[in-house]
Amino acid sequence: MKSKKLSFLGLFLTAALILSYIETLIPFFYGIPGLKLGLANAMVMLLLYIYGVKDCILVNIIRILIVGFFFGNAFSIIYSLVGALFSVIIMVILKKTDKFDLAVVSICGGMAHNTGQILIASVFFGTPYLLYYLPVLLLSGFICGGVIGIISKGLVTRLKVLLTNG
Amino acid sequence: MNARAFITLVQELTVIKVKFKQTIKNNRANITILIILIFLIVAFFLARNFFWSDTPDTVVIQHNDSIKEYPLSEDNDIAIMDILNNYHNLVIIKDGKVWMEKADCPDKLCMKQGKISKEGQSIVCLPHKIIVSLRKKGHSPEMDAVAK
Repeated sequence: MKSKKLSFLGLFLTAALILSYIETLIPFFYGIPGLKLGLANAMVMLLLYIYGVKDCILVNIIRILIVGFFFGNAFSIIYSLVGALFSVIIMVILKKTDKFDLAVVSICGGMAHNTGQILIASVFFGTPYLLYYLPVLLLSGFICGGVIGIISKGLVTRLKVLLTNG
Repeated sequence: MNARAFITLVQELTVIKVKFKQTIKNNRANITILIILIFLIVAFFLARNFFWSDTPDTVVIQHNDSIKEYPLSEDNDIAIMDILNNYHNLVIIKDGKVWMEKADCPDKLCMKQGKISKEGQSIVCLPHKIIVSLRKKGHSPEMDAVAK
């Protein structure tokens, strides 16, 4: 049982890494710093809803470190970690209440992620001027979080039976 | 349209209405939070336009701890060097627009951010810790206080 779970976690980590890589290939930018799709968040949602908080955070941290060393730099690792911290905290709290749909949890997570990133960037630069982009990033977090949330809801309902029973 | 078709139509509409009400009842928490979030986004957009809506006249270039100001009305090419005089970025001011023409960082995200011309907009370069922003002189002094 334990080794099975371990191998599935490894599989999810690989999938998340590939999704992160695909995301670097998509020029989803349009002149706004920090705008992105958040494909890897689908894997995070999957882990959160199938295996629970601890495994989700563990896999996510490993993913961020690997992606950071492969495609980014020290700054991008810090930004990703802060964004992930914000979004995971919000999503875990919302999931614990058990009142909200997975897609709604994902939307809140996406918005929290973008807020966290813009806050850490503002602290890093020591200027509030980056907050100009906060509304746009909140909107993009809403839309992208919604799309990813709908995708991961489909994945969770289909994979949960497979992974917990088989 | 005959009477029977009309009655079926009304019945179908009632069924849809009941189902719709049921869905709303079952998803009250979800719908509430979504509406709150949408209001939040709109509020932030309004707040932004409230704070930053003038025509800018100053280009502020913040590189590490040095802050320099340039007038937006004069065309200018500004090279940004580090303390060892290594050349890093080239900022161009022309016709009331500002953009990053060259950068020696690997991702070139600052160049992809395009041309900016509105108050509050910025071009950000994370690896070199450069931020180029458009402001109006004397506007919101408390912002400048925070920046120092």
